[in-house]
Amino acid sequence: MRRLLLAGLALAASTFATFTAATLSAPAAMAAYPDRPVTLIVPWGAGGGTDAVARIVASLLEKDLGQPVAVVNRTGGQGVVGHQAIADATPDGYTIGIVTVEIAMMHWQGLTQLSGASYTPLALMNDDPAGVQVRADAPYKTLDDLLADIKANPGRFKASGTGQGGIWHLALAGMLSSVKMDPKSVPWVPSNGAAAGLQDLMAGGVQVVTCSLPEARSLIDAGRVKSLAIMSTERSKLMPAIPTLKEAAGSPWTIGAWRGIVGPKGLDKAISDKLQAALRKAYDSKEYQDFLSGRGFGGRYADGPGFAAFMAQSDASLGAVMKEVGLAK
Amino acid sequence: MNAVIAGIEMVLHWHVLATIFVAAAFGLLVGAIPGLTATMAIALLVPVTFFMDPISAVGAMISCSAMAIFAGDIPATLMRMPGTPASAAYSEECYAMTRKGEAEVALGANVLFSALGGLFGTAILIVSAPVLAEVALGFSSFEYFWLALLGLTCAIFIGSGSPVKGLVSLFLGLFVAQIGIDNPAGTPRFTFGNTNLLGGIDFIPAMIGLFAMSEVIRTMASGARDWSVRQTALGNPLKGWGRLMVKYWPQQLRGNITGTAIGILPGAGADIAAWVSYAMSRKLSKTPEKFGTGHVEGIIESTSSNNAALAGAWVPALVFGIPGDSITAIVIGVLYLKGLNPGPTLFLNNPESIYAVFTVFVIANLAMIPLGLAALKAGTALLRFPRNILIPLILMFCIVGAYAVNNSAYGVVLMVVFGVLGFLMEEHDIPVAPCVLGIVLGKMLEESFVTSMIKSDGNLLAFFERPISAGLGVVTLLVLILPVWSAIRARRAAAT
Amino acid sequence: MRFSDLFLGLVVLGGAALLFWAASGLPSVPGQSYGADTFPVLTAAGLAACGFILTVGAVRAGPFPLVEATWVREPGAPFRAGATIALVLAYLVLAPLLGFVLAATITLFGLFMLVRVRPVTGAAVAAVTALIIHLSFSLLLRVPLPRGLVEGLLP
Repeated sequence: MRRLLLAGLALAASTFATFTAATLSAPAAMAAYPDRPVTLIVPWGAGGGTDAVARIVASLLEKDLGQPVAVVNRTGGQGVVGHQAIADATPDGYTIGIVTVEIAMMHWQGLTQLSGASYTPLALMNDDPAGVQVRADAPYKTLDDLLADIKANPGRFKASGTGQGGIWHLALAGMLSSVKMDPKSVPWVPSNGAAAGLQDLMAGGVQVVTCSLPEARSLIDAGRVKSLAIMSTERSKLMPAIPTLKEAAGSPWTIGAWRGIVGPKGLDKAISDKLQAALRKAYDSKEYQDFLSGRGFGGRYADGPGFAAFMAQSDASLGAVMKEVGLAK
Repeated sequence: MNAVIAGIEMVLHWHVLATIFVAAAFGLLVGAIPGLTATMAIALLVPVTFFMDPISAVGAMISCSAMAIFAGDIPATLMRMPGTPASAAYSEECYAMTRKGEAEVALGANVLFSALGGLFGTAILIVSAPVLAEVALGFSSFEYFWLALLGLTCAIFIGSGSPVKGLVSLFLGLFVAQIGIDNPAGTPRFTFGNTNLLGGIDFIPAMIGLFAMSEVIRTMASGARDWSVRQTALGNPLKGWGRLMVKYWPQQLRGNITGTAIGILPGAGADIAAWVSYAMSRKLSKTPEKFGTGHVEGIIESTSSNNAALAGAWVPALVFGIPGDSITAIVIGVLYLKGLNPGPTLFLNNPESIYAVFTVFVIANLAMIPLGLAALKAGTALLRFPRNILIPLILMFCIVGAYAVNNSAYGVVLMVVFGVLGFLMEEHDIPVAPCVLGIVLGKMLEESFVTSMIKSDGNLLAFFERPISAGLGVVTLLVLILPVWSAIRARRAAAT
Repeated sequence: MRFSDLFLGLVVLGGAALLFWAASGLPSVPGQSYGADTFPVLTAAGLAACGFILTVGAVRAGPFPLVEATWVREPGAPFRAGATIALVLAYLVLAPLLGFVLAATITLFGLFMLVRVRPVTGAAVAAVTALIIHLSFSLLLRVPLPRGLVEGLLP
């Protein structure tokens, strides 16, 4: 027992010594931000599109800020867990995160109190519009053909691409509603992401998949899937042959999945300015632009205030549609 | 053909090869320590693979698991203590050989036939996986539903002992899989308003708890005392390999085929393969009376079998995305993280990755021979390491591993909860393996059922309308009904 | 320590009832015949069946002590099992306050003391292991473990 006590004392003494050393050697004044590694939280899994954007942005920030930027995936709960973790972080600039379009949707569904206003917006980095995909051997040449068939057989066609109430579900419901059709005339089959939905399209389980073009790209390239329209104001740079929804069906409906970098609410102005400048530089860099065109992602930039306005507008328009099609609480 | 060459090239980088080698050494280490399973070795490896490129990550898991399964034979032979459950079937036989002074023959046979078994399983994987992949492109939620159900059915047979207790464990796993919002309806279930629970129960911390921490608690409770075992000096294990191969080629081949077949079956893995092969070897032997007295015949068949099963388990994992055993269950998670989503689209989009995986299999199994021989020496040294130092260190690695899964203390909390749960379950002879499979397959079962019902407008007969689905359905129902039927018959026969 | 199968069966039955009660409060999805409550209810039914079989089997098998002590009789065993869990929980509390290195050192040292490692050896192994884990995670794997005072001094 005595030996144990002695050892405990020894451990305590060494701990104390380390403590003192730490306090003494720590610089008295705070060095310029950032003086230690920065963490970038991603609410979605490694390997996905958001993760890919986050990782390239992190590597570019790291070059600019001169400190390591570690990407940390906080997954689960359809993004709620990670978005919450970003909002809960200490607003010292050492924890930032990437938020996705879901932040403008989740609170309408009653899943969380969080919205775009819960953060310090830093930069909008990317926006991918939804597309309407069918099998390559489907008998439709245009979106009108498909819509006419749906109208003639309500309930027979099933669509997929993401979970129940997800962004691509909303894309479909909003599109149908905008051309004066019942959103329920195409029942939604929840899937574990766009890849699973596309595989079900191949297997004949569903007939329509509304997801972004980069997600469907490999199967479009393989000649197994074709895209009938994209829900955007302008055609895609990746596949300029695909018409916009306005051109194909006369509907003004647009929707896309966007991603941007934020900090927790209450970030110091100096830190926020420094990060905004670094992100602007990252967006304009050749590396980021090459990454966007390589993956087929759509680029879209806005600075902090611009991103805040963009989120507020996205929040309002998504909320209105979600109420209209019965996806909001 | 270009994909084949590209795949081989992806592996032949020094950093990939070095990763494979280091992971193999780690697998040897963990596998050779009794109580630590190949599954645990892989689970501990998971956080590390987050930071590797996909091929290195998959290569690390393949070589680590192959080595761990083989390494379990070392303490089994030297001390009658199976290093992993897969060695349990024939540890007595190996130990009997050691007592007869034939330790080198037994260990030599373990190294050689483990490697050959692994290569045979790999060959089947290479030949049959692409064919199965073509078929699998036609798999919709209807087929996946039957596959998930079939996997769960097999899971009941993982645990020895009471089937009812296996079922309790399975239902517990299914319940755990239901927690959170990631379900077809997108409705939060059993979350009590907690954001972490909204995200559900991550199966890796749960598994580290169920398998590893429960074992640590048990060992700590008994004081983590050292074993009192006398080590046997090893002779030349290479002695007599040629003779064994000529004499026992039918046993080896049978073990390979049985192992691969069982490995392909979802829910059945290397441990069951070893038991089945050992039993089969005894049943078909010309000299069954020699079994149990230190006879190499049964060892050859079962040691081939458990390593062949390991490769076989990858066929459904890669092609169907469903785990053949608890090792591939973890690997599938890693594949998803790495963007190599298993399933037919993997074959369509990334054929070179598939060939890279095959290449890793061949390299890992060939490397097993020199590494295995070296490990015979190292293994004996490790067993002399004081356990009261080793076990706390293992617990620390569990904590860090559970934390790193999602970079949050929530993972550690999950690990503790499931550690205590696993400890209590095993105290009551409730196997933990079905619970883990329930967690892994539960989501797939529910998703495929609910989405199928949406597609068919609630018509249950839709599960029999597609040809593959109907076939799978009949097989599943047979597997479910046959044991019940034979039990009833046995009871009737006993009554009369 | 193990409880009898009778007790186990009753626990499983109770759990099934709880699950059934919790599942019945889940909303069904409009337009879908199988909603969020379908699988929890099925799971509850399965658990109930298992609990029933266990209970009936235990009653048939005849009297059995409610609690069977096995390793609990060994002196110190329940304490060591409990203390192991407590030390992990202590780590959870300490890590955000002190940082990984100090919290891990304290937890490891406690574990070593439980299984009678010599205190000096234990303290040394604990501190060195914690440092190695921290360095390999922050430098090689880039996982930020909880930061404290010691971590500020390290790369």
